[in-house]
Amino acid sequence: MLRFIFYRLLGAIPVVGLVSIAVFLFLRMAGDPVASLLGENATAQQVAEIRHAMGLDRPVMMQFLSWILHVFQGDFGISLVTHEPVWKMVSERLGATLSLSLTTIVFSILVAVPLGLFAARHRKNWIDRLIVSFCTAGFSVPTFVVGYLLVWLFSIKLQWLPAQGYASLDRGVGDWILHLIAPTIAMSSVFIVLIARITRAGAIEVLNEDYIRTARAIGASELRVFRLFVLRNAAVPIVTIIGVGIGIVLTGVVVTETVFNLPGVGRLTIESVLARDFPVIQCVIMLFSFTYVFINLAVDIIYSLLDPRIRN
Amino acid sequence: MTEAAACPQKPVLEIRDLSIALPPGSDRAFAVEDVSFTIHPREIVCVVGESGSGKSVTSFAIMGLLASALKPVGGEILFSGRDLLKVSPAELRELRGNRLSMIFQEPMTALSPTMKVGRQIEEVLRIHTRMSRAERRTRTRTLELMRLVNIPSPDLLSRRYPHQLSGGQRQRIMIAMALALEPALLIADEPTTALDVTTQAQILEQIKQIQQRSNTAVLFVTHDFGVVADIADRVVVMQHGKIVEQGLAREVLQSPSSDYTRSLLAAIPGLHNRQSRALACDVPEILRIDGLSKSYASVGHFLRRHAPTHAVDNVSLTMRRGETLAIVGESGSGKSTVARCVCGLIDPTGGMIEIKGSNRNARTGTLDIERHRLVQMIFQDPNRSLDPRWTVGQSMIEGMRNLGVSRPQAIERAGSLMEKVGLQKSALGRYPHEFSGGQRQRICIARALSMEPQLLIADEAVSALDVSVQAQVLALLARLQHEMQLSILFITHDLRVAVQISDSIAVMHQGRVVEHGPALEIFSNPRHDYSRRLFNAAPGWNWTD
Repeated sequence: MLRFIFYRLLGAIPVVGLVSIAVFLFLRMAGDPVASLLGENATAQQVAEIRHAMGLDRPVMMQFLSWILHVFQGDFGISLVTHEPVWKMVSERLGATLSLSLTTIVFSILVAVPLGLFAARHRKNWIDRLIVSFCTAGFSVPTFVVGYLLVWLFSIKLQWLPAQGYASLDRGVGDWILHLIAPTIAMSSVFIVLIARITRAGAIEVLNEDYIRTARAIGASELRVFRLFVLRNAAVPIVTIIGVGIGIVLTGVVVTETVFNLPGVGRLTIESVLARDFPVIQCVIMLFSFTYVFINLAVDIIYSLLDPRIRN
Repeated sequence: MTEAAACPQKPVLEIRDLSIALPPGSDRAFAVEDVSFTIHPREIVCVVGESGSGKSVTSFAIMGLLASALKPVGGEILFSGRDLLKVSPAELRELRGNRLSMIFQEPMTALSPTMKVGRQIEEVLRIHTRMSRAERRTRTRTLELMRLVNIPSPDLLSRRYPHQLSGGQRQRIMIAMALALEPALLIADEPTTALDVTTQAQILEQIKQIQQRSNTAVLFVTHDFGVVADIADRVVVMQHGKIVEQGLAREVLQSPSSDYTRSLLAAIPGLHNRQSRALACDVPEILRIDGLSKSYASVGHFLRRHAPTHAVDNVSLTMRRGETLAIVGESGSGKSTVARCVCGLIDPTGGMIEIKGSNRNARTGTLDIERHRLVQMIFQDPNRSLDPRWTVGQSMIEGMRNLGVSRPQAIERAGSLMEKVGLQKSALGRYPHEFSGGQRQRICIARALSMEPQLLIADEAVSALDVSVQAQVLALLARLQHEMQLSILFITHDLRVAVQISDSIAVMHQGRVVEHGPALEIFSNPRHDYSRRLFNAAPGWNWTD
């Protein structure tokens, strides 16, 4: 088992390397940062001076090497706009994004998996149909619509929840949760639908397996059948979709943070894209990409924990 | 055993006038109709019948495991005085696995793949008994049960997952689960059908032993009269959902009272159905296999290479025109691999395969179309060897068209072949799902014959069929062989089929041919140890022959 994890980690190294190169090259291809930074009125001399100061006149290979070496030391450079260290800007925003992603994932799984199993248990009768049509509806409503609806209902009409902003954990758990409820629900809607549908499909397939009949034949209760036999054997596709879903969450934070005015990495991304603050964009994209690579790695490892047949 | 039948005791199970309705639109109204029989303690009752006879439905009804589309509509199932059709779900759960347990046909799929097998046995104990923490930790009872069903090194194997065990071992785990709480009634639904003969013999012996030790009554569902002859005290014969006959096993087997039972018994392949086969000595050879080997490199780690697996190891055989050669052996013996090499479906790693003079060095792997024409194959599962989206006609002419036969000519020939195998020309326009298993196998035979082959390879071609259908297909093959001077290479695990149809026989074991010669000689006087063991393990081997 440990060996399996070790080899998987080893396999992730080239992926991480390729991702870094891709991030760097794509941004270089997107245009000269200096030209857009200085505007159209800049003289050629000004541009050249700044390019030299930023090292942009060196060969791309050298630029990449010096950038990656700095990245290894945790130095992502200086923001072109605020002139603050990039890593400081990003890390200040991580709290809100991490909190929102985490609550979304946990909340979605807690709602979706039982929902999917419940639908599978009652397949083909009205309970199942109700859940399935609810899921279809949930999938067709965009996150920002759900978001604004929640704000209108709970913050403006009922005034139960704060409409905007974020309270970090050190200001108390209660406040933290209160600020996250609406954004979490908004962002979870798509995610819940996705996981619930896959759970339902997986469970229905497993329910037709011979070993479910065996479990019933030894007198296991329905709850026990679902807990020990159905869920465990349907887990692989569910974990897969959760992994994919986390990727969706990563892109989803951009919208949700804007709707709820949360000071997170998502909004930082938009701000820096609009301001063409390249060092920040680079850092954020690297962060997202690495997270995604490691989520995939985690999913692979969880597979092998869940299904002994996948282990080598 | 006979004492139990002789002195009347209170029955463990009494089924009275049980009727189970099929969903509307089925080919008949009832899956099971007016079925009544009883089982006494220490008694083994076999329910025999072909597919669709309702034997499995009856056994599932006792366990309350019927599919939701099947509804019991009449009668009662009395188990120690209680009607199982009327008890609450909770009461039924309390009985299942405890007083009433079941073993299923497919040991490969009956165990949860994600749970260690020891834990699955323990599951029965956890559901029905209060286990202390110490008991859970030491797993005394689990290991004891595994020893009881003869699983080697229980401590080690209990920590394995089902896919790491053999089919026989998995079925033993199932038996351990079923017997964990010493049930009053054990239902075994074709528990040995998916197993090799030697494993089957061991499992049957196991069930008999444990049953006698713990006074368990056994309801044994099977399609195999050999198994009946080996273990049954009493027999219930079913057809189309009704009981046609029941009585003491000996009496039913020796002097059946119903026509249906008589026809079933007559259809069982074996020596009694063998027609005299005389093969002239001067007919030319059609197939010569010389030193054939096929090995697979196992997928190892990139730093460590495993030794290759030798599926077939230095096999040499010859066949003459019009001859039937049966290759018998257990799963994994390499018999199918030989067939596939001869047919050219896989390339051997060594040796020569010579077909009617058209020499082919096996190693170079060159295929010529003539060879494909000369050698045709029929597979085990007729349900899966026809494309479900093609009409039978399309499947039939595909091969001929590839050989350059014109379309009208191919259709013409397909039509006459359909008649030859006992189907109508109009069948060409229909789809495979509109035919029964036996009819589909006839279509596959017709398709093979459309290429005008000299050598027909039948890989377990009748193993998936009911006995009566099996008898018809075997008769068809014999007739075609005679008419067309076909040579047939018959791959089978069923020794009865082999003894009925073959001129010569090759016994394979672990990739090698251990014995090869005239069929009757080998069957009556096997010289190799393994052949002897294999023949003795066949259920009811000595009963009809």
